[in-house]
Amino acid sequence: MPNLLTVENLAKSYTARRARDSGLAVRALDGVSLSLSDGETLAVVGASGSGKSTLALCLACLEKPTSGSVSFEGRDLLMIGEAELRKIRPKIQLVFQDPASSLNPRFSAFELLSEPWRVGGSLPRSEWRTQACELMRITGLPSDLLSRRPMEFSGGQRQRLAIARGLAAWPKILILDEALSSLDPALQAQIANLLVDLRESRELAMVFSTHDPAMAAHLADKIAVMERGKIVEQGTPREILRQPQHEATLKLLAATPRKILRSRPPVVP
Amino acid sequence: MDALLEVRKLQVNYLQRSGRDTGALQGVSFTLNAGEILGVIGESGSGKSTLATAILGMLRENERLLGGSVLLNGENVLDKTDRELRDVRGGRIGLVFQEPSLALHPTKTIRAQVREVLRAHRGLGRREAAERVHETLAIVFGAEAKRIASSYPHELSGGQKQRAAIAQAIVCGPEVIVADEPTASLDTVTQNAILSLFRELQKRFGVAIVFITHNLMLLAGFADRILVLYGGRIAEQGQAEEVLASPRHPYTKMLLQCLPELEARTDQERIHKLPVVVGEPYSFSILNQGCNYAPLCPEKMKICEQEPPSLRQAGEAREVSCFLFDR
Amino acid sequence: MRYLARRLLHAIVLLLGASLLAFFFTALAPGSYVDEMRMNPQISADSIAALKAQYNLDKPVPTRYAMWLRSALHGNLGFSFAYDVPVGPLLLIRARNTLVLTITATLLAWVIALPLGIWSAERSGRWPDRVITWITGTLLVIPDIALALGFLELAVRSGWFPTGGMVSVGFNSMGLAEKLKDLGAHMVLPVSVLVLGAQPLLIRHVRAAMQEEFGKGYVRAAEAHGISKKRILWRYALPGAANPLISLFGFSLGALLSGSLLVEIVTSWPGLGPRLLEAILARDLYVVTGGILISTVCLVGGNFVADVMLYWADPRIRKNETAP
Repeated sequence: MPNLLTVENLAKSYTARRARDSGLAVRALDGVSLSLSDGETLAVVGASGSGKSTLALCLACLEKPTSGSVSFEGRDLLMIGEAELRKIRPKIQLVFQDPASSLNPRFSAFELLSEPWRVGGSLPRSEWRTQACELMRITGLPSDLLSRRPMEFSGGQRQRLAIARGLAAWPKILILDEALSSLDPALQAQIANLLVDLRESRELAMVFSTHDPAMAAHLADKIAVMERGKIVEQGTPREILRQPQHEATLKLLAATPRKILRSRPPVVP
Repeated sequence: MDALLEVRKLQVNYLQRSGRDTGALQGVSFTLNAGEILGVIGESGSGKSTLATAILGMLRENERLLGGSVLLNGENVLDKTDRELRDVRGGRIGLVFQEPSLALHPTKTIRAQVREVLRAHRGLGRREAAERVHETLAIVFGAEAKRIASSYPHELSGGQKQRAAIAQAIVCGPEVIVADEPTASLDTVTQNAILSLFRELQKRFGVAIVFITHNLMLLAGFADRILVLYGGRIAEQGQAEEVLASPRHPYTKMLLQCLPELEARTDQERIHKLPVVVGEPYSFSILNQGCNYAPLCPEKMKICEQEPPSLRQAGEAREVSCFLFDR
Repeated sequence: MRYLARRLLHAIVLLLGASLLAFFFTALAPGSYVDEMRMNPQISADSIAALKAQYNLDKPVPTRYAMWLRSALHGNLGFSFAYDVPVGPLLLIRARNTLVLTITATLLAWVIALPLGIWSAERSGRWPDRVITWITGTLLVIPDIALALGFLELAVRSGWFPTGGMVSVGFNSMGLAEKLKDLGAHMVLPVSVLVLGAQPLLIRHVRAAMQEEFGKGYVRAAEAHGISKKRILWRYALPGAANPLISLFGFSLGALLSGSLLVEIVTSWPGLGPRLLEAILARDLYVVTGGILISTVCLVGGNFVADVMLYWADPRIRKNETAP
């Protein structure tokens, strides 16, 4: 099956202004390669600072990498011009970690959802309302909230609205940058279920970054473990959990709380 | 043994702009013994953060105390004057917030900030104060203490910032630490490190800890007792191991089941949906005559919608507020 | 350090640009100093042409600018056509007079605004805050010139303080104490107008900065640690508000030579403002350029001082200097 997305040797360095002269740079991404097929879900797991967010931004073409290539459906996104890139953008959508700051507070839900159709012209105006209601339904939001602003939504509803907006552009790839991390467990589970639904109904490929290996193993077809800007281990959940190789993976797995309790030393008051 | 901290029938309301007050905490009572780690579980809207601020007498402008008491060694914190309260805060009860980047002043060194707290409570001479600050930083940071002492918050990682905040909370040697979701913004590896730090503090100094979180799993192997908060009321409380091994309240059961275990399905298996109860978190704006969890409860009975259940015994050292456990 | 060097370079470029614009606008404005004389039939065309040549008024503007710039870099700002004296000393005396006024007014304005702004922010929403907000709102609406005229009227009617000028006749023969008293009395009018005029901006900015601080997490955390409100104000909130307040102070410093022009003219204070106005009307090119240059130096200098203060006060700005 041909790859939907191929990333080769992606590197991204940030230089603090003075550091440029002394040659020191922060390598957020240091030679990352991965591939994604149609309808596949890839989980990128790693601790804070491992480069997960930078990777998500580069994949969504919101950050320009220092070197390497990101190919979508065979075309290198860094080589094509602005106009061409703008046509491809709707196909790769990003959902940010914090919906409160990434959703324009002045827009109503309807305006937020219809933005991609307004800009891209992919849907006739007469259909906007029906599509918007459909998106709300898919993400489990009551349609009477369409006229409300994001601040009037609860935290979980906002996250779902952010996902609905990502879906509005009818993408082939949905990228979720730690979209579950800040939610209560019950909400996390609800959104996880939503993602499962989307996978099956829309043949949506997904890349989601998280620091929770359990959620990764639950949702993903493939897991990539990142540390300090590099992918140190890649494989199916089964492979990663049964035979973790790299130290970073071992550390992450060991830190994950499990339902089977460890014994605890008694406390001497 | 007399409890170190006793919360009795605490009632706090949120003042809404619409004029109708809603119940943030509706008669919450529990005890904390010396040297004990009490884990408080709640989701957004459960009142857990209000609990933290209420214990310190630091209710916000839109929170009003309706009744109840918080007894620290027998004295009611809520009755104290402003001056006395200042002694208690930081001196006898230390508070650790959720977001360390917000809790630390951006243009003061870590050393200076810890020293400020010490200065507010203990009248130590300059040299003694400096020593004490250094000791505390050493407990929290180990070998890196010296370097971190002269650093500014923006130079530290999330985990280090939280450690600095913990240093501020313990420098005066309080008997109780209230930690309000201290690890929520940290990744799992750092989370564990912070939990180990708390346990060490408990072991070395016998400090009691009220650890508030929304992640039940975090408390496994960490807390001595667990208190589950839902909709401003206690749903369940008991020994940690037992609550986690056999939860009684339907809400606690749902919490334990809803997150995926760390296991991989076979390549052919379809992903199963997580057994979470669908619905919005408890909303204060809805007036409830019965149990707060009734709208979402899979084991709901008729009586659940008519009157709120009180806490009742459901085993040894276990209390549940659910009609399912009526004798 | 490099941050400051960059700001200095920035400042120099700004000065060059300002002098260029001032020169060109004045030179390109229709008419020149000698035009007045053409009206006078007693002065021959030859004399006028000779005068023009003497003042280089017959050369093209860019050339004139280059010549001016060269001599300016040597400290010579040219000659005043009207007074036939070097521009430098002429303006410097006036600048000194202006500074006497503005430094006093700025200090006084800040000394009043800071406590009021802090007080207002502490009691946000309650009556002290409302009263102050109402007063500053009213002051904001009243134009400076109306304030000045109002005070002038008060001075005339009551005779409590002099209605204009900087010193009385016979100043030079007074004793020191007398001199100070006299100067002070003359300053009452313009300083009052300046101070009142500055209050709304200052108080509101201080209030906003402090309100923002009071809402910050570390203030609440400090409360939770049992630190007294007073200490929180001085050691946590004020330092936190330093950034915007230092920048504002930089503006105040920058306006020391330019902000009082209107007031000086209305109250006949012999400062830079009236001289500049006079020069503009007379097309006294070098005086205008020199005057604007001096004001710009002050503006740029004030901002630079603010940059230095910020650098010293905020470790995060210093951080951007070192390698990670």
